[in-house]
Amino acid sequence: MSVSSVKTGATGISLLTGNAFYDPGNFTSIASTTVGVGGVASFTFSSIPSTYAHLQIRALTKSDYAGQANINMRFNSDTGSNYAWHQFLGDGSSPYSNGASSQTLIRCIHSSNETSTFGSGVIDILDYASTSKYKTVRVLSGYDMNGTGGYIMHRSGLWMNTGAISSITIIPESGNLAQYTSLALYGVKV
Amino acid sequence: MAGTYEPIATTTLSSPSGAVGFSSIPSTYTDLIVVASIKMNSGTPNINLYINTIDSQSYSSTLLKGTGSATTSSRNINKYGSGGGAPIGEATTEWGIATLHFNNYSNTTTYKTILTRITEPTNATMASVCLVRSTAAISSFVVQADSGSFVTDSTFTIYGIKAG
Repeated sequence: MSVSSVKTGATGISLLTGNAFYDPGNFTSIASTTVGVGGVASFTFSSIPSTYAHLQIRALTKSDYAGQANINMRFNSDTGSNYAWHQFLGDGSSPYSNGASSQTLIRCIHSSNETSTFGSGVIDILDYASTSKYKTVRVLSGYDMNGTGGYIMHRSGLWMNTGAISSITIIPESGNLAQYTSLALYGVKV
Repeated sequence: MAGTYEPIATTTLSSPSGAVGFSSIPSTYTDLIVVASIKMNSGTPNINLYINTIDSQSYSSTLLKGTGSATTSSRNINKYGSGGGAPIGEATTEWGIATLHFNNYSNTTTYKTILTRITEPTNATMASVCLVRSTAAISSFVVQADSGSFVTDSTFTIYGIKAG
């Protein structure tokens, strides 16, 4: 098959004819969203390809709930009690750590209850496409409310399932994901 | 074609300096990540973050520190930019690593929340969250020490990440 480049007019047999080879790199954007007016109850990254080694979600989140609320994560629409999490938090005075097993989701980010103050988070999901391992999640997240609340948080999560992760749902524990919440999913190759 | 994760600028100190800044940051990325290899010429000062030359009491932060024998958390409120901004961690006279995450830095509707991880060899490991109560896109920032200087060969690299 002959292919012509719309860029240079060159003809060849490759779809790259006339164009420099493009290497998408080892850190690739898969999908992203910014929540619109009115918010949404949850957001799902679906049809995640299994072609990467790891996933990273980078987020700026808020719930429209009147109080401060966790923003949680669930895989492959599994609503069973197959999750666990641990957290190590600094609240400005007394750091503490706790955890829970047999959960229906993983705590990841957190949300302030101030209009313009959002929680920020970086979530790493390692070996997400493995079919022989339970899935482990690592989170750095936090928000600060200038003396009226906030946490800096190290969190970890476990999904006790060996299936490859093909969808990730982000869901607040109370309220909706507020307008301007932004979520971006990236794939990491090795 | 631009990549998803690419370096924007880097600075290697050729002489000691108490502050390092980046300006004219393009708004074309989704997030910024700053990776710094830092060492002080004296003391264990706070490292502060000062954004967009905003000089009002718009800065606050919450920190978490573990030394191996004690864990502490502290909070800073109503900090002035002219006073250095908000503390995001510490640096020591040994080489440490600081990583700053500016998620959605160029949006103009939310206050800016910056996450930081700082490793202080033989001293502590720290994490922090900094709030800047401004909805303006971040186009410049300065990382500066309370006292002393970052030594020669300290490096600061800023990367841009672009969501599709």
